[in-house]
Amino acid sequence: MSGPPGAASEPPNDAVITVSGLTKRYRTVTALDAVTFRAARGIVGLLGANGAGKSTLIKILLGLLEPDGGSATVLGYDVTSQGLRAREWIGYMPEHDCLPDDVPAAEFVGHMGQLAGLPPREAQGRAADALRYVGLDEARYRAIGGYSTGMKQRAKLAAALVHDPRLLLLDEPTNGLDPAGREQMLEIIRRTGRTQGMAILMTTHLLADVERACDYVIVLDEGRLLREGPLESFRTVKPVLRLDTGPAAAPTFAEALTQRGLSARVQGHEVLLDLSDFSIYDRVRDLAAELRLPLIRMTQETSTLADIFA
Amino acid sequence: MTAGGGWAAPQPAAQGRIYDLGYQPYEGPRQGRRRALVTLFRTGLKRAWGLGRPFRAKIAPWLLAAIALLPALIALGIAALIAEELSPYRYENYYGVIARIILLFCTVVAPELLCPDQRQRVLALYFSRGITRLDYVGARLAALVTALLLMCLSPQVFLFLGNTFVVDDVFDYLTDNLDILPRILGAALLISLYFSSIALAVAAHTNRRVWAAGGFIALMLVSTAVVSSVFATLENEPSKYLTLLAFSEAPIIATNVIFEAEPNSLAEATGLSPNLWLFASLAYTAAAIAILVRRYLKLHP
Repeated sequence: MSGPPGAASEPPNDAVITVSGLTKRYRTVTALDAVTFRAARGIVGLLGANGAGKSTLIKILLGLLEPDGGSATVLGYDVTSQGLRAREWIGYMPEHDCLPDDVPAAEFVGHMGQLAGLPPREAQGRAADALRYVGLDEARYRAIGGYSTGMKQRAKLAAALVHDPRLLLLDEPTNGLDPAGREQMLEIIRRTGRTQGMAILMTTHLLADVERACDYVIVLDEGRLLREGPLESFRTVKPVLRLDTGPAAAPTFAEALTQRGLSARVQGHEVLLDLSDFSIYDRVRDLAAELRLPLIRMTQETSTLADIFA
Repeated sequence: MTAGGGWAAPQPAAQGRIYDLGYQPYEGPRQGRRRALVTLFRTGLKRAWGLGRPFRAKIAPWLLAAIALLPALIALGIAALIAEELSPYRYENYYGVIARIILLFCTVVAPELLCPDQRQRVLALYFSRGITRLDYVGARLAALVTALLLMCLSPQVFLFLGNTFVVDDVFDYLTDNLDILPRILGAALLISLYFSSIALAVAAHTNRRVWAAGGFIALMLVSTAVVSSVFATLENEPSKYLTLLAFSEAPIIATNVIFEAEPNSLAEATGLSPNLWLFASLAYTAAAIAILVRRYLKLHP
C-alpha cells in the first residue's frame, strides 16, 4: 500500500468482529447486557426488535459510544483504544436521514471519500463509480433533497462504500423502502458481500431481510444475545408432520388419528402430528382413504427464524 | 481500472465497448486523517464564503467584506488628496471601525458552519470516519478564523499597500511603517480567534441557524449595552470591572495593547488597563473553545 507516513495501512488481521461481555447502560435502561459473539467474514444479520440494542452495538463498534463494560474488536482493532484506526476501514450506513439536502450526491459522496483519506481526484472518481454501482448514475448531479427514500438509502450506501472499506456496518438498510426498493437494496448488499467478499454486518428487525441476504445471524433481545449461528442452523427440521386437510375436516381427522394412538392436534385448518417414525406417512394416507377425508398436503415442520421469538 | 482504482474500465473492442459496472477494489493512495482534516477545513472555508453554493449564500459574506473595505478606500482617498495623518481611519483603529461588520460576519457565517451538519445529522457519517470530534471542531474553528482573518486583513493590507504607493518615497514609508505589519496581523488574529470561538460556541448548541445567529448577536450586543448602562448609572468600582463583560468591545480594546494606541471611550471611562482587557479577551476565547469542545464531546450524532 502506497501512501505517506501515518496514512492508513491494511488492518492487522482477518478477524472481523469480536465482542466479549459488552455492556451499555443508559441511566435505568440496559441497552446491552454482557453480549458476547464472534462474527466471521460474510454477511452477518444482527436481528432484533426495536430497542433490542442493535444501533447501540453498531455505535460501540464504530467507537462512537463508550461501553460500560466488556470489550470489542473490529478488524483486529480494539474499538475503545484504536477506534480511529478501525474507522478508516469501516463503511457505515446509519438508520436515520444523514444526507445534506442542498448538495448533489456526487459531491457529497466524493466529500465522504476525502474524509476517509482518499485524495480529491480519486475520491471524485470513486464517488461516480460508487453511485453507478448502487444505481444512481443518472441522478448523481441532482441535489439529494429531491431524492426518493429509496434513492437516499442508496446514496447512503454509496457514501459507505466509496473508500472501499473492509467492513460495512449497515443499520436497518431497508428501512422505509417499498417492496421493490427493499429487494433492490438487498440485492446490492448480497452482491457486495458475496462477489467481493466484503464483510457486512447488517442490522434489521425484519426476518425476511435476514433470510434473503445473510449467511450468519445474531439475535438480540432486550440487550441480550438470544442466539447466534449460520442461517441454516435456524432452519432445522422438526419431528412434526403438518397435514393440510381443509378447515372442515381438520377436527375429524385429528380425532381419528388420536383414536389410533397418535398424538395429533388442530391448528387452524391444519392438523399437527408428532412424527415418531416414517410409517406414520402411510398410516395417515390410509386413514384419509378409509374415512374419505380430504388430504391436500403432508409436510414435515421446519423451524424458522420467527420461532426464536415465539 | 482507472488510476485511482475506479470501477469503470472501458475495454476496447472491435465491435464496441464493454463496461465493467461491478465493484472494483480501491488500490490507490490513502492519506488518512491528514486528508480528512484538510477536507473539513477547506469545505468549511468554502462554505464560509458561500463558494460552490447558490448565489444567495454568497451575498452576505461578500457584501460585508466589501463594506469592511470602504473605510480603507476613503482613507486612501484622503491620503492621496490631502495627507495620511488626516484620515480618521488608521491601522490602529481600523478594527474598531469595522467591529460591527466583523460581528455581523460571524453572525452569518458561524451558524452556517455548524448548524446544517447537526440539523441534517451528517455528523453521524463524519464521526464514523477516521477523525475525532476534536478534529471536526478544530477544522471548523480554523476555517472560521481563516475566513475572518481574510476579512480583517484585506482592508489593512489594501490600506498599507495604497499608502505605500501614494507617498513620494516608497522605501522610506516601508522602513518607517514596517513594524505595523506584525501588529496588524497580531490584532487580526486576536479578534478572529475571539469572535470565531464565541460564535461557534453559541452555534454548537442549536441546529437552527436563526437561533445561533440571534443568540450570538444578543450575547454580544446585550452584554455590552447592559454593563455600559450599569457603569454609567453607578460609576463605582464593581461596575467598572463589570464592563469587562462588554463582549463586543473587549477584543477591540485589547488591540490597543498590540498597537500601543489610545483607548476608546469605554476603556477611557473605566480607566481599566488595556492589559486587563487583553487578559479578559484571551480568557473568554479559551472559555468559548472549552464550551465548544465539551459540546461536541457530549453530542450524540
